[in-house]
Amino acid sequence: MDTRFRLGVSTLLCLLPVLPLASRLAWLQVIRHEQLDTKARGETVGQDLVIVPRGRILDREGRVLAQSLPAASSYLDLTNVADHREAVQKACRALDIPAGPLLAKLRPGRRFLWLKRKLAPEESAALRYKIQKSSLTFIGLVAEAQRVYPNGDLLRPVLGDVNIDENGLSGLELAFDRELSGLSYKVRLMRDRKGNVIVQEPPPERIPPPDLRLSIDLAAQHYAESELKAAVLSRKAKRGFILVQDPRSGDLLALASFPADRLKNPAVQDVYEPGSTFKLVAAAAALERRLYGPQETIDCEGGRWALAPSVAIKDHEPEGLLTLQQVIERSSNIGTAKVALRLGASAFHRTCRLFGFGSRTGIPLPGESSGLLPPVSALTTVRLGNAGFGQGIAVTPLQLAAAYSALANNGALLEPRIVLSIGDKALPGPVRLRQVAAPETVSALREFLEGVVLRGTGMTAQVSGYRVAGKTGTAQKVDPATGRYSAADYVSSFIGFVPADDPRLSILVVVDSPRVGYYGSEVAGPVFSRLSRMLLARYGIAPKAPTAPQTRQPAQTPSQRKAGASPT
Amino acid sequence: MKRRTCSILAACACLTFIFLWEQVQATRLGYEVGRSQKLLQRQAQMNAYLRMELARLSAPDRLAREAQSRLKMIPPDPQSQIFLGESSGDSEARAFKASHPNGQTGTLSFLFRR
Repeated sequence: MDTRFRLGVSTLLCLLPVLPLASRLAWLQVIRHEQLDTKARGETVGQDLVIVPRGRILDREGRVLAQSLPAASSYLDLTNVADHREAVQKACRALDIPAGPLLAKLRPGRRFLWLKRKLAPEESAALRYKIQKSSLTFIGLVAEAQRVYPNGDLLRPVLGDVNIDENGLSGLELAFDRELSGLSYKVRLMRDRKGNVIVQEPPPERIPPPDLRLSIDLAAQHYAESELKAAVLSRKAKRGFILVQDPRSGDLLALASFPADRLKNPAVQDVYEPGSTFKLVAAAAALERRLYGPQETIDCEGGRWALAPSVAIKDHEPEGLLTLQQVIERSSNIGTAKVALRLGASAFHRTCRLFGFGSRTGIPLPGESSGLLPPVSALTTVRLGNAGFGQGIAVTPLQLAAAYSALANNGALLEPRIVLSIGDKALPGPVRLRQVAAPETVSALREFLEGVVLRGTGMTAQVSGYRVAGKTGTAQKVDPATGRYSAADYVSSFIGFVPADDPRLSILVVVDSPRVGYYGSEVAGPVFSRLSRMLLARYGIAPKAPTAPQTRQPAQTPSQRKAGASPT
Repeated sequence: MKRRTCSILAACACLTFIFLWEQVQATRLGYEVGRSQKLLQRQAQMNAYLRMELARLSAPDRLAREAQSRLKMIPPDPQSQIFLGESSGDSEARAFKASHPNGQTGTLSFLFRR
């Protein structure tokens, strides 16, 4: 045998034991590679749910009004459980919740049950510990987010609410649901035997939803809600609203309603008959058309006037001949009805539309009402006379606030603004809709409204050291049972702006169905005064004028009420 | 020939070693990144909870309640309000205004001064 042959045999003999190993390796690594790789990945690679929380809602100074926090929800996975009832009972004991409701949900073939959703971090940590300690493998935890409103019920009708899955249900949460919505996505993770994560590739970057910054000032909102709550409770009223607006920009600084309803915002969704606060429309139209000279008088018929054979208009105090300014200052219904009739339905209606009544303001809040403004054809003599002093028409609190803000803003009607920015994107600044009246008309109206507070029905709204312009309103409500105006149910209101010479704040106070007092001057005027004082201090607006002289006692006090007097 | 074979074998051994070292390092760093990510997530959650707690504690309703019940503060009389205007000669007021250029915090701080 030659050497070469012997070497070959030796090599073969050496390799012979390795051959089965190599074959097995080839079998596992090449032929069954896919199958085994999938199996291995199944044991080491898992998925993790990543939650990107819903965007925050902030006030104008960046203070948090609504925010989503990470939370965990627990569930029951009965896939590999023989005794479902026992598993439910064990899980409920671990979570310290009653088992009855969950046991009632058990059905044959049902494998999944929510145990407790939105657990606080300490609760979920305790549950994790119990799951590990007691081998409660049928309990699972899944990441979720929970919406939190740190200021409680403050501004809730505006903010709205979300459902358990964090979808907007009402208010801004609904209106901006698309922008604010959070994300959840799954990422692949490799874990070792002990469950430690081994990162193999960076997780995908997701842009979090933007924050919504509002024009609301949290402090102003607090002042408004505190004052409103006190007024509604002390007057035993049904409800109330307060709106505070910056007339220069249209920014809503506070939008309070009491009692607060998370699913409804009555300040934009509900309408009411504005009563005497609406007299500004007839006055503006008359001034614009120069229907009355400064000294020209209107006969107020001694406090009672038959508008039609069976329709009489009454004033709260008997009045004789009054100028247009005095009609507004003393809030004469008869005088205003005569002004409206002289204007005619078409001119009156046109001015209403010009001030924004009968159409939505465009505020991005869901369910905004456009109010109820009868068409020109429906404005008969009686309806036109009544509409002059705010009966037979209905407005939203926001429409009225925007109209008075236009007067405070030299006649420029601005779109009310509640959202300043979405994320980094600032929304357009003040949107000027139109000029409601000529500057000289606006100037005269402002003088009228100042007269209301200085000499007329609105003296209770005076703010020491500041010039105030405004108007009282006491509107009778329709009794649903009879379909006629009630003699006992009123909407008391006051709307005005301060300081009258350089308006910075426009404020509407409405108290619905007060049982203790009912005149606007008595119920809403003092609220306006107190709130104005707090807000003027808040915004550092120093007093200019000396304390306003009390030239005339308030026209309507409980002791002075006359039987049968009509609202002012 | 023999030298060349040795060099190739040595290079292969080096490459194998580098590859193994890289795999070990990648796994080690993977662990580290995983731990850091978990820590970051926890810290971010804690941060969010603390911020929310801060917002809850500084809610105006709560502050007003605390100011009135615990600190016995009262809403000020209009006459006792000090406005930090340009003409103010009060050095304390001027210093306050300098540190609060928007004039709001200063006014509020003085609002409750008794």
